[in-house]
Amino acid sequence: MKRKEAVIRFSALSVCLVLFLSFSSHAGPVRVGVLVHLTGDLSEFGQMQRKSMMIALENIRKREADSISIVPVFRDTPADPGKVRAVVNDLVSTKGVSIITAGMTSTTAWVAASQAQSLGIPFLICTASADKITEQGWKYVFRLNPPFSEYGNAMLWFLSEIARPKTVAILREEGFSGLLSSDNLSERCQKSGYEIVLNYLYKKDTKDFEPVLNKIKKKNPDVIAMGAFLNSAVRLIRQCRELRVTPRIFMGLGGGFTLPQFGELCGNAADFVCSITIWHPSVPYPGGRQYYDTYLERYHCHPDYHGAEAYAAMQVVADVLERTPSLDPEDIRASLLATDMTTIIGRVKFVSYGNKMQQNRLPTYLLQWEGGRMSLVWPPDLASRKYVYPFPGWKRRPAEQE
Amino acid sequence: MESSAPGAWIFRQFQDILIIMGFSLALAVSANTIRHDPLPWVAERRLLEPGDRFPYFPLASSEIPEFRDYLGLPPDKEIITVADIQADLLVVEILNVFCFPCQTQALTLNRVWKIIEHRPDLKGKIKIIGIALGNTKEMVRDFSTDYGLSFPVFSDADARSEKIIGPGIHTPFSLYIRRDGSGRLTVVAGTHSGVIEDPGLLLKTLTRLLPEEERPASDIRNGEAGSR
Repeated sequence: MKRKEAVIRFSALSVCLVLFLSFSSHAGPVRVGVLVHLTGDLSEFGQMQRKSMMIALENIRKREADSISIVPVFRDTPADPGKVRAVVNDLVSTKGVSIITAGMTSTTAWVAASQAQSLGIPFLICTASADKITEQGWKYVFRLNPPFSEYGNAMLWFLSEIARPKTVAILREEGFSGLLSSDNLSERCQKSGYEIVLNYLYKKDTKDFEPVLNKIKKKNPDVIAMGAFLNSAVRLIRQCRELRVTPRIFMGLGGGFTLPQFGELCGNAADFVCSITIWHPSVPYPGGRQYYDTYLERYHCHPDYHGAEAYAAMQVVADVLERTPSLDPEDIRASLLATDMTTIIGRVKFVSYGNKMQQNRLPTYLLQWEGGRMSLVWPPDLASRKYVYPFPGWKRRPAEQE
Repeated sequence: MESSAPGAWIFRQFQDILIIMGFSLALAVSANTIRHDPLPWVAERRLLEPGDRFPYFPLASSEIPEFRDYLGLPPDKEIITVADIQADLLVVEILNVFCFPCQTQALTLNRVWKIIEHRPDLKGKIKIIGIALGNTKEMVRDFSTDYGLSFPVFSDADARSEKIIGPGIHTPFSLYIRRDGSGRLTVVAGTHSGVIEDPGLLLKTLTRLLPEEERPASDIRNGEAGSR
């Protein structure tokens, strides 16, 4: 009898101790590992993500004074896979982070995610888009952003349901890795039954597009899809106006076409040009515009979807840490699985579909320029105005002084 | 020398042309006679509504060979229509494979399909098909594989849905079709525009639309009989 009593007492004490430890560890500051590219070619994006996460943390603290205290532990992501593993190991074993979030390229995210999986540490991806990352059955890996194969969906939805083109011309700048690769676009257009009349890769410093635009003009495609950085995007559209190239729709593949400078530099030539995007401040989710304005005011440059995704990642991490009963990886994972919240990039809920697991599903968008402003025109349930289709032509828009 | 009336002479000279003209005229008249009247809701510039009769909508059964048994289709019929499907209630989901709400809806329908197939009181009574507006067969195949769909989706690359369901249709659009007096699926019992994310809610809507005698006993006990 005494033995039984002792066992019960011991069990009760153990439960109390575990609860106390969980509570006490959870009540103090929680270290969150953040992997971003802080140096090198991609540092522009990495720095944008770091700044965006800090704005997110400020806003979370302002809104909920008694919210859990998060200490972000930023680490630069090296290109070497061996070093990426070492950084993940260090975050977990030396820094004692409870969760890692990562805004990095697919190649590095792949290595970091597999390492997090083997260490059993929850890992939230917010930028890497390679489809395969959430197709491995990795229990601790979650992804906030859409996979690459879904980036062009808003455009393809619009084309197949509204525009129904027969022919498409694709122009793409060397080195441009926007939201849709020309191979992917070309394959999906062909599967959709659209004929690719031209698929042209041009050099980054191309100034004169007249020869290729004349070719396009002769072929008279319904869609001209363009992957370009800002300068080329501006030149392309200006020269299309000069040459009176008139497809039924001009479609930018992100990049320069969604930047405010595009509208400023093109003037009314930008009117009715469309572009795909996965985030824009006009997307109607709470806090998005405020984040954009804060960033612009503080850093004097425009944040893009990379920044917004990083901001949203911190919103999710804060929400998860508020809800988790303890900092045990299994509890954090369970809280991630139960996530259902709205962030500045949209609703976040990790689901499984097809081969994908713990993947958030987000819509993509179609923007259209008009009168110097870029508006969300597709999907229709989120649109701020109705799209203008087909392209009305250049007639009533004399060239402005340039 | 044979003498003949001017009419006969003209007929002989232009015999071939006149025969062709006559044949064409007959064809045109017959085509005009057998042409279907414009669908009333299309003439009224609206979408199909509850109470309307679901019209002839040809679908190629060769696109969904693995679902022939599920739909209870005649073995050698290539072109089928909704009325050929064996069920008490049919969900016809008009979708676009690139449309985000349609993808969400497809996942909900997949879950509903699984619940139905595991419930003996519903299996065989409620069935689901998709019709992909503006999408080719190839895109539909990719979509069904990527989303692991358990129900058949037909391609509607020529966007016939717009001419048949009504002008201005936006995906996702759901139609719930019930049997008529002759036992064929022709009566539009309900429609829904947009997403229903909760499979339980959708299933409840569907069971309420079943004919009373086919409704699960639990629904009738819960006082839901007769609700529309």
